[in-house]
Amino acid sequence: MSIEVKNLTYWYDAGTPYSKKAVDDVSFTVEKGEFIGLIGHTGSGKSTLIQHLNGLIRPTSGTVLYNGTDIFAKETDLRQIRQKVGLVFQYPEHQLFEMTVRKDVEFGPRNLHLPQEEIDRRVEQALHVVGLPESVWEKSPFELSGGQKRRAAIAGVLAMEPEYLILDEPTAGLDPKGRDEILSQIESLRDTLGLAVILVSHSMEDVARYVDRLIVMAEGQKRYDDTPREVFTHVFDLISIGLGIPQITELNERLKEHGFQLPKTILTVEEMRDALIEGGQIHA
Amino acid sequence: MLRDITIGQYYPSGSIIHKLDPRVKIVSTLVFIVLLFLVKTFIGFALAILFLGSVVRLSKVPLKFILRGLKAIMFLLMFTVILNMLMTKGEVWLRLWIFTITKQGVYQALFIGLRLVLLIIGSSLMTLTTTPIELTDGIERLMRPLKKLHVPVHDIAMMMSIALRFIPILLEETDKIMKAQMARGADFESGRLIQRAKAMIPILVPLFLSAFRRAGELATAMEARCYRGDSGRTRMKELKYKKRDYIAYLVLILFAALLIATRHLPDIPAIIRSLMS
Repeated sequence: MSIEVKNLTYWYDAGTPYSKKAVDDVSFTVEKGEFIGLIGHTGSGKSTLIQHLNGLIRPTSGTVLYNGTDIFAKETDLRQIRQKVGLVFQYPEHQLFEMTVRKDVEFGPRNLHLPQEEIDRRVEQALHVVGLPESVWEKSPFELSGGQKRRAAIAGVLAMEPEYLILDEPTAGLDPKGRDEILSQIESLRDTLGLAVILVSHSMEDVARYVDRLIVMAEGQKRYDDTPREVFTHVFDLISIGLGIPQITELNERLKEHGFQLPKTILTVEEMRDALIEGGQIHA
Repeated sequence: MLRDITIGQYYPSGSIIHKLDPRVKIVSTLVFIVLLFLVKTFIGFALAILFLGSVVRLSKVPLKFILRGLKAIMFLLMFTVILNMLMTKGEVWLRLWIFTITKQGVYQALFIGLRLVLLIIGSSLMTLTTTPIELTDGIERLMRPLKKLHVPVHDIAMMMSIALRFIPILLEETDKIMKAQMARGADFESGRLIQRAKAMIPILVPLFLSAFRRAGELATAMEARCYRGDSGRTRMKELKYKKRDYIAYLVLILFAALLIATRHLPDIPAIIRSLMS
């Protein structure tokens, strides 16, 4: 069970003076149950790349294999792929259109032509998972608060019951509380349902805290593909491609400069706390 | 699919045509279009093609790019040409089943086809070499005399430039919403007409909402910068005719005079006929 991206290249506006290479020979494999972070500067090709994974964009060259079958082959039913590979776009609340939250979440399962009981089951489960109280289910989605709208939109994708969930900056424009809630709900989804999650993010803190594997894109190419701990050791290179490292990791680097050596690369505040309690060694 | 639309696109190349005053380009385009309908002879068309060809050359916009705009109207063009060919009465050249093709029909079709192609190339050349802002600035200046008649010239020009600016934004937005709904299993390609029309709702509702949202945001942003319409508004770039603009007008007058003159010349077939007899 995997999604395999093979030598994927994509040109925007091929054949015009505006043509531009957005994705440049990228390969990687996503296994079921993984929690992957995808980071990169604006315009590094992340958003273009993820739209290939469920066949919304056709690559200029290279391909994507879903459990070994080429999703761009003629025989493949892309709608089935799109059910298995759920994609939540940036600002997903901008796609809400129905009269009630419930009906909007129903849109996906209804497109799968499921029986009504199954639709109801999925919709209710999805709404529970994203933590929307039953009191708002029959309300118009446009009456909800920003964070609630975002949850409703994410529930719309979850109700398709995908095996892979790709989220493009799901926390953009949310306050810290909303951000933490959404991210921890995504994490628990992965843990309880065994979903594979790809999280596209600008926040080094978020990816450091949640993901097991980090893919870094720069100028359309895959620059790193490793654990966050390993990736964040490349401080200067990350800064040169317009990214950074988590603030706490940077603090650790500064301490090192002053001869205060902690045992490893620190990713979260909690790790720093524990490391400090264990005791750092001072190398004069 | 939405990317094929080239109308209103700008192609930066910094040529002399790009640098001309937008008023020159607007007036020239209008004059050129009117002249096209006065041309009745081969010599006239040859002259018009030569003129437009030289302007295209000067503009440094690749021909391939200009012709791409024609693709969108290919069907309309073919339809007009064929209809004209078949429906014009006159001296019969060819009879095929129920169709008769006349000499006059062929001429007519050829002229109409040429006229349309030249018209489209001429007007798309204007938008390809003029930014939307220049264009509306030019229109505003040209319409200024109407202000005395209490026509809200500035507001019309501002609305036009905003509308032009929003075309690519809304196209992009449509593309994004379509993809998002497709990710939820939406199907826009199959089904009968009514089903297809219904399938548009998940696109149209968010699209309208986003258009209103953007309009509201833009209005706030304009007010925050103290926009109050025309009164007391100055410009960073005042439109001012330069030497090259006067030369362009001169060339235009010359071309117009020549073209009108061709109407009074005998046409090539007539010349050949008079030579043969």
